[in-house]
Amino acid sequence: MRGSIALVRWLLRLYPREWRERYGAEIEALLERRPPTFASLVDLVRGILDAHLHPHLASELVFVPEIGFRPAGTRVLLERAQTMHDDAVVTIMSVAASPERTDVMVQWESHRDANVACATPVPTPSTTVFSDQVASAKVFVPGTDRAEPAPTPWTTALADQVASAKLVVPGTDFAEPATNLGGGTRAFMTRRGWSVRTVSFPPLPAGTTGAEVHISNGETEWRVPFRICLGRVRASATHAETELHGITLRITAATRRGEEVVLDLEAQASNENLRLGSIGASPPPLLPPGVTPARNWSPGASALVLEDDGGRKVYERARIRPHEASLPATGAPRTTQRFASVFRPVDPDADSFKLIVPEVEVNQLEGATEVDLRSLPVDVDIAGQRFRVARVEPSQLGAPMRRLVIEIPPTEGPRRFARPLSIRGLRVAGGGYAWGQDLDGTLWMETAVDEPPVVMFSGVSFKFEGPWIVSLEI
Amino acid sequence: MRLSEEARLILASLAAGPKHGYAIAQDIESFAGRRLGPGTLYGAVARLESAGHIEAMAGEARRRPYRITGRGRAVLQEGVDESRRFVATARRRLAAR
Repeated sequence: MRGSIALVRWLLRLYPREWRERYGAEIEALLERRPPTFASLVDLVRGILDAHLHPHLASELVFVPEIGFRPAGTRVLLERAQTMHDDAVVTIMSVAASPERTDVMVQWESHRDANVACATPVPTPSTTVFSDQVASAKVFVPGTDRAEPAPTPWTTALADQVASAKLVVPGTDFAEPATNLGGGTRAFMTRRGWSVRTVSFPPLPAGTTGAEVHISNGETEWRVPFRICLGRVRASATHAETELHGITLRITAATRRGEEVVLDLEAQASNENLRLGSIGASPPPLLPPGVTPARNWSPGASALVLEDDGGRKVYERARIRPHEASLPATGAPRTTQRFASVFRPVDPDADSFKLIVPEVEVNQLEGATEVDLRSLPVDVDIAGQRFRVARVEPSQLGAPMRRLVIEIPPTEGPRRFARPLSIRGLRVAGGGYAWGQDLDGTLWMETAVDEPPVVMFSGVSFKFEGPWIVSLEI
Repeated sequence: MRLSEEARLILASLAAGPKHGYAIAQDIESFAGRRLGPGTLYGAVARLESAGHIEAMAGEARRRPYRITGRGRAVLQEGVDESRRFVATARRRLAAR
């Protein structure tokens, strides 16, 4: 039976996809080293039948709180661990130690510079934050219904707080630097000293039950020992999907923990011309202690809904985005997006659900138009889409930022022109911009503007109306 | 959880240290005289992995090593104790005749 590797490869194609992806290469390698006999080929066929009867065995996953879905066997944090040093508290909030890598979610909270904090408005228990764009975050003024831009320091990245990180297993030679310092995609960060980021390291050695994270800001190092155990929150791989307007919505894994259902979602555009933006309205990121998100999250945007077989609906409460270094920066257009959505409170007796995704944003990079802000209002055409720059206002972030109020004429059909994709001032270093919508629906974009006051709009963002509806049983 | 014979053999093999599929099959053949076919071997590996008794380690997809977990050691120990009780009982009864 030598030389029958081609037959083995053909037989391997008969395994269910999960099995083939998980064990196919290993089985093929085994049979290359131990040439197949008639008996082993019969055994392989029996294995294929077994796999079709138990497809879930090769696709078992675990859900790691705050981090997402990982392969079975992934070890997770046994209990939260923290250390306080130099007026900062560093807390390990979650760990996912899989054979591929170790992800550690770290909360950094500084109690330093109290005087600076007094000069800068800081979150208080009555402060409410709304926005799905950290750069355009606002806070409600306590005791009023007035919203003001969040203080500038809130919008800064964490690079000045975590300069390096290392994972160490005490008593061994294992001491590995971070492979990805991560981002705070679920966190609302403040320069004053609160942030949450997930840092990736190489996989831990076999049998490790405890390790230490060493985090440094360049001056001080915090060392936090933590313990891990096998993840117990089982999840199932699923392949429920639906397609509309050239966009496929897929549920790739699901789990439930009491009143909470977590779904691993994948949105995929059918071609390169459909680059995905927001999938429904993003729920709030993690917020500093005492800060609560507002009900009016993003005016005009619709949240993801999970409807059970009794017709009860719950909204997406949190979104866990992957933070692999290979992914483009948050918000950057791409043809595939993956994230985990958390829904609660779900009826514990329900087992059939419908995921409803009301809208998907699609971005088009082509098209650019210059606008001179000295002659407003002005009607603009960008890649065949029309809008008006109605007026320019000072930005509450101060000069050289300017706020442009944009008016979009209503359009019919499932694809609506939502806004220009980006804006930047000509002859201004850097290309930062922000956009948002006030509670009254006013759309604005902000960027730094120099003399002459000319800005460049680039690309367009469309909103596709759904709903995309995916049914599943958990 | 009651383990199949193949699962016990795999756990016993991995109790000596991490191995990839081919090395597990070779080891079992040498210490138990049993030649596990590819379908049987990976069916048992999938069940053990799903139950958290073994776990895959980092490595290339074709030669991914597996190791026994603490839970797997405990289950194997239970199996060994059970076998020991069975052997002791059988030996005692045979001797009594």
